Amino acid sequence: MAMKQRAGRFLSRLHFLVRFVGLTGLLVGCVGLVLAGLQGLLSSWQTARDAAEVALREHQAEPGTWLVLGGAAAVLFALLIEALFVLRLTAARRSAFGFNAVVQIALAAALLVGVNVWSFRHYLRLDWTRSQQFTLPADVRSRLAQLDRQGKTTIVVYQRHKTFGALTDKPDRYDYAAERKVVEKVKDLVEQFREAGPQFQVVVLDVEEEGFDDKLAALTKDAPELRHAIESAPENSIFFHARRDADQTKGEAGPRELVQQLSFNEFYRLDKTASQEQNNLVLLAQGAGESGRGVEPFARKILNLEERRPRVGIAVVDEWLSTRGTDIYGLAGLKNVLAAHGFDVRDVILKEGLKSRGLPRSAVATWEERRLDELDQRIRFLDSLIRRQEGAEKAWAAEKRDNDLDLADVRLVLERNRNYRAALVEERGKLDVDALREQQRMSDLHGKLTRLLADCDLLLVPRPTLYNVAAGLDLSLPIWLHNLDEEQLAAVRDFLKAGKPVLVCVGPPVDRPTARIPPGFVASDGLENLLSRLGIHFGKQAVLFDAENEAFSLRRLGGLTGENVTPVPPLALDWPPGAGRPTGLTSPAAGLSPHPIRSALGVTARSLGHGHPLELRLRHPRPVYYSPPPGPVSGASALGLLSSPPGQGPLLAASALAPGRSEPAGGRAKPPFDPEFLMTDRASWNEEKPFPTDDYTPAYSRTPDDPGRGTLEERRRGPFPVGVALETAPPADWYGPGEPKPATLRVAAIGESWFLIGPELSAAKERLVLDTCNWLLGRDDALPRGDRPWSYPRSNLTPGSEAQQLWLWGTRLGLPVLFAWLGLVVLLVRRLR
Amino acid sequence: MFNLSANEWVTLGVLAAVLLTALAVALALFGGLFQARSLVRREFSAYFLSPIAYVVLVVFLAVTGHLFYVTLNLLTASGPRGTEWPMQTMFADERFWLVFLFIPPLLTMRLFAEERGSGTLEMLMTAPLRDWQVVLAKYLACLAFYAVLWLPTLVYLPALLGARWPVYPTNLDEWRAALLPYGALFLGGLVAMLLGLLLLWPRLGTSARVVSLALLVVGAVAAGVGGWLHYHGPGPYVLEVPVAGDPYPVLATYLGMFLAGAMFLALGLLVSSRVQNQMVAALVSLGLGLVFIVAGFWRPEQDGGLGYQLLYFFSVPLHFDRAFTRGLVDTRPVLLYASTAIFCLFLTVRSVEARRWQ
Repeated sequence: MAMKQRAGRFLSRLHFLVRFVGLTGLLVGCVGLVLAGLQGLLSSWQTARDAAEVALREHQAEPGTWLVLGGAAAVLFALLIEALFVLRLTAARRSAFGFNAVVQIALAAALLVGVNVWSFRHYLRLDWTRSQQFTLPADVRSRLAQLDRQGKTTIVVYQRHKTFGALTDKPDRYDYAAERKVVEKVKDLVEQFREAGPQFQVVVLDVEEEGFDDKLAALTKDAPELRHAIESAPENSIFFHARRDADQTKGEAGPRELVQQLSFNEFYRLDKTASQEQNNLVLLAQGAGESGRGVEPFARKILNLEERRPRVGIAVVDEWLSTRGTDIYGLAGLKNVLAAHGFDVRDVILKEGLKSRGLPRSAVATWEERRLDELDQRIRFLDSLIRRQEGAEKAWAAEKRDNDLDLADVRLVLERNRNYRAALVEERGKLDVDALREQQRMSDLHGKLTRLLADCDLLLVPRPTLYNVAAGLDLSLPIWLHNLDEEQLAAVRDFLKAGKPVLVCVGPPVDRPTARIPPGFVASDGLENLLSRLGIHFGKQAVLFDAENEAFSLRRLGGLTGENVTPVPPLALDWPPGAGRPTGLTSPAAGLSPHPIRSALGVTARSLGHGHPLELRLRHPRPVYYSPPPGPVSGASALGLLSSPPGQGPLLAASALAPGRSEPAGGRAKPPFDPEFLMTDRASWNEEKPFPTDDYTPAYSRTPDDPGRGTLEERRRGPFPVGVALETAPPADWYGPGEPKPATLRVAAIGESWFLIGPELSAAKERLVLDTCNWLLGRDDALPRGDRPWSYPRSNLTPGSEAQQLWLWGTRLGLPVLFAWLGLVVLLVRRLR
Repeated sequence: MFNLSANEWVTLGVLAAVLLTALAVALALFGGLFQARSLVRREFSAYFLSPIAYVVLVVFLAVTGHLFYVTLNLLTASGPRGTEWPMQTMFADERFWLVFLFIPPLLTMRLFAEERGSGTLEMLMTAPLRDWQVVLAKYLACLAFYAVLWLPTLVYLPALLGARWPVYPTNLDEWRAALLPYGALFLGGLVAMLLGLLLLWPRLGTSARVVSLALLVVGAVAAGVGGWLHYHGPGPYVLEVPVAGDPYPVLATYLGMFLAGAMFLALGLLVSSRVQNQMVAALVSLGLGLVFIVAGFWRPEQDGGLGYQLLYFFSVPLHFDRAFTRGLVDTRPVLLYASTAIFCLFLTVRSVEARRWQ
């Protein structure tokens, strides 16, 4: 009996020990899980499994892994012993019922786990909302279903807290509220995309979040392109990043990185004006589709991850005017803007000899070609300099002037020059010298320019001329400097003939009173004539503003030295039909709906709210008119299929123009919208002599004997159109028989170019550039649109009204009090005897 | 007749078998509950006689009333403030879940623990009812009280949805057009349901009870089918309540709340069946409920990773934040709530049974 008791006690203690080991194992395992989590071993099943395998095979692991494995082993051991113990119990007849229950419970538990594991992997999200807010359009879903489900796509939501405040220095509560709402909507949309495919991973990066730098570093450890894109994003953006196998044909070694970018503004845009009017938050859904939830721009980026970036060719007369030019004349800001919004840029230099004293000569070169020449020149110069300095150093050293300060200086300068030369040689080494030399050998300007423009999707021709003549800073450039020769012009025409778009930004063709046009150059070259064939007419004068009168007077008195002392009024975005013409002249497009670019700029302006105009100011622009040349009705133009506003199908053109007094209608059909998309303020006039001199101050006065009276050149008060963008059929005589002819081509002209220049562009000018480029490239869906507003739902109760107060207090206090009273009554009734 | 593949026929067959089984189980349970109707009535009425139920009601309504106050303020706000999903503002709020956490334990703690503590469980066990009938009767009564708890919150809906006065036909022709063909079925169903409910009130015999229940069920089916067809038709309708907001998120929220409550109550019932002390029962079921609620206070980043998905799977507040209150019905939480509730009820039955052979 005693033996039996002792054995029982031993077994009981052993059982306790086993349970103790199991419990301790559980504790240790939990600690291990925490440590492993901190060491990043639990970020996915794969990393956890890899860590366990390494620990078991190679006996090398982090402490967390060991603790988890050890704990799990102890728990398993204890469970095994428990199972044996249960089996031993069930062997007894008395426990048979209990065992039966245990088996039932185990089966039920297995069923519970099984059902939930199955539902975790196979689930449905039924969208019960009235407008199917959480359901992707069917076409987007079907296209997403075709994506490779193995290839991971990372969606980075980057909150820079600069979205709607980009156009103003002082973001207000509307801007911040809009940002918060858009972030919510982005997350919702990402969730819907994730339902469509498990390959989407989402990372939210918030610059204000603790540990942002570490998170960014971890995310972009092997993704330099993604990092670059994130770092150069000017505003809140969403990035889509994926990797594809290397393209061996392009000589790529590792997997390719694909990065697409979508700014929050391309997804939802704030309409601050409507928000202020409605006392609500009004956002405008963007994109071309019908969802009205910004799905389409989002889907377009995901579905077109491998889409080629459109390339913009920028044709300028010298390197200092290129995107890598000087701060004063260079287009660095333009390049940054275009690059940050998914464009590639190529500089094409059209002149040489500008730095020498002679007149510039026509040429065609890339920036790299010029850079190669410059590097060679500098290296040669440095070589001779270093040789001289080495000789001097040797001579002075031979004279044992080691302690001489001059010798030390020579050595220092020599070292600096050697380093500089090494840097130049290194830069040269990065250039494809052979290919550049080959390019430089091409003397056929037409052929070379055609070749350089072949892979460009858009040609931008900036021609800055007048620069703040009232301020006295002599930065103005003469118009003749930008002349194209016949061969270059032919290449540009070939570019247009191929149906590719061109944007010309050209300032007024007026120069200082003392300046003369050199022989062989003209004030208005063939490019303007080329554009006039398409319906763009450039005015000959500069537009001056009343606001500049004071500056002109002060300048005359010698009192003005600054640059931006008198701001000119911003461009108008809203004008009556037919505005911008001399009295009696009718615009051929009068009464047509506004141009999509103008509408887009209007939507941008609405994000600024009341009392804050879009700061789009052009100083000294030249008028640019839509004036269709006389000619037969042709192609798409005749059918009125020239183009249509976003979201609408092709529109039938209105009937032929009523003949104006001096503008030719030419029998052409009207375009579907007014091609003139920029207009100056009314307080302006057109001036042939904008430069003030000692005896002349520009000012408006009526000229009775104006030779231009009754024409577009008539001297008059504003407003003046300064931007035209149209889609038109190319002239039939440009094409030979059998030559392929595009149905239409898009072309735009802006009567000013300085707005493109400088190390950075203002937000409004950035929008002008982007909207114009997007429209020219046919990406109408990328233009801001304002026809699909979203706002917070509002109750029909008036704030502060009696009804509202009744609702608020009746439910907040009335209902609880009512039930408290009921409870007390029940209590009293129960106490009743 | 049907152009289906062999696999589709098999699937249809399995589905039909599952549905038939479910129907048979539901009928059996319904029959069992009908036998235990006295117990259901006793348990249900016990809530209204106990002060704890009124305390729960008052606290619950005070919290939801405050959240309604916040939501209505946002709905009538000026400036860029507002709420896109009023139900989300009300029921995805941490304060709501903090209070909700206590409600199921308070409702379930007494169900078995009190009987066990006062020694009336043995008496109950001698009643001519099977264990599962006892468990289901107590559970149903508790669930019914939980539903009653939510009824006063319907008062908030007209303001939340921007409802206007109901519109109904004003002349005979309109009434005729509204009633034919499905309006009459809808109204008839409603009348039958009302009649069935009224017949439940007086103490009548078994046959009358069967008739009243049949009226209730048939009326509900007729009202459901007739209402669906009537309101999906071109109109005019017998009664129309014009609302500015979307009513479906409201429907989804109430469905979710009912199912989530069913799960927490089943959990509480199980705990109550295992312990003698009511306070211990409440604390343990509160602790178990915390597992499903704590992630709601955590607010993890929605990165779509496995960690987030697992957390989302078990977090009831997140289900309401991301799905139900916005009109999304996600099958994952629905299945989790239903399966956990059924599992807990099964364990409760086993737990009650275990007393017999201890």
